[in-house]
Amino acid sequence: MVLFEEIYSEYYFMVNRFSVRMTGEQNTADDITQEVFLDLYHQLKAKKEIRSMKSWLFRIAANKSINHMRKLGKIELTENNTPFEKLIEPEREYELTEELNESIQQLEEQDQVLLALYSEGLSYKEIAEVTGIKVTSVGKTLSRALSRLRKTFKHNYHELFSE
Amino acid sequence: MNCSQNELLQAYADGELDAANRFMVEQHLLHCSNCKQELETILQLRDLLKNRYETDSSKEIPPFNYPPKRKLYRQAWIWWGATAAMLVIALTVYLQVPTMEKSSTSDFYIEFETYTDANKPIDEQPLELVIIESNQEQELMQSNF
Ligand SMILES: [Zn+2]
Repeated sequence: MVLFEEIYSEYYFMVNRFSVRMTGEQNTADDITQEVFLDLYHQLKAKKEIRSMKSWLFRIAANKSINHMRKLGKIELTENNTPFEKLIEPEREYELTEELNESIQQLEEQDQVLLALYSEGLSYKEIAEVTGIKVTSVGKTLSRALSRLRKTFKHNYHELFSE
Repeated sequence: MNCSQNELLQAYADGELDAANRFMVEQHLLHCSNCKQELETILQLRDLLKNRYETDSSKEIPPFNYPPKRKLYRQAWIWWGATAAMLVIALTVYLQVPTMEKSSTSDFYIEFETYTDANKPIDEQPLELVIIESNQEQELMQSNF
């Protein structure tokens, strides 16, 4: 399937990165990514409709990540998983990222999905497409999710950015 | 604009405002240091979120593991298909019991699968009957039945 392979190589990193952002674990994200594309493979093979490839992939990846987190009972970051790829940045930012992720994991599922999509740089329109939230409500919903994140973060650590 | 309209600042930071609203926010930012500070925080948080787990660009895409060949029978067929399948399974098991030691002659097995159709809401997900044709999977079949 030429089409499948093209889509696979075009969207692999997008799905993979999104899954890491959702689960906080590289190994898990790799498994989820494989499963997402397995679903896609079946979908294409069965000649089923996919209205928007990007949204479809995000939705599947979000579902699988959520299922995974549910199984773990709201996951905590574990030490035995591969450390994240990103060690290039200054130490404080790395630390901050870790703290941020822990705070994100404490939010409601919907907030977690929303923030992962936002982290992917999706526009409000695209976020609406994936989540089913009305385009006109995305801004409000997102801004609330972000302030909940900031509140959780503050509760866990300190003010996110000191004034 | 008043200072409690956080979503307006958020949308401004995300480049989601039309010209008129952008203008309004910019006018407000000229003389409100609180909102300016808040915008700064919004932007910093956004960068932090976007940068976390950035993919290592030197990383290679792993090869996709293709599944074994399958035939899918879907939706409308499913009930009589399932009935037929049960009969086949019963028959297969019945015929195979005496010769279980020898290698099996069947080359398929059946399973039900729930399948996420991401075009649809979660409560409308279809159920599928899958017949998997495979020689390598005979062992799996025997241990299942
Ligand atoms: Zn203000």
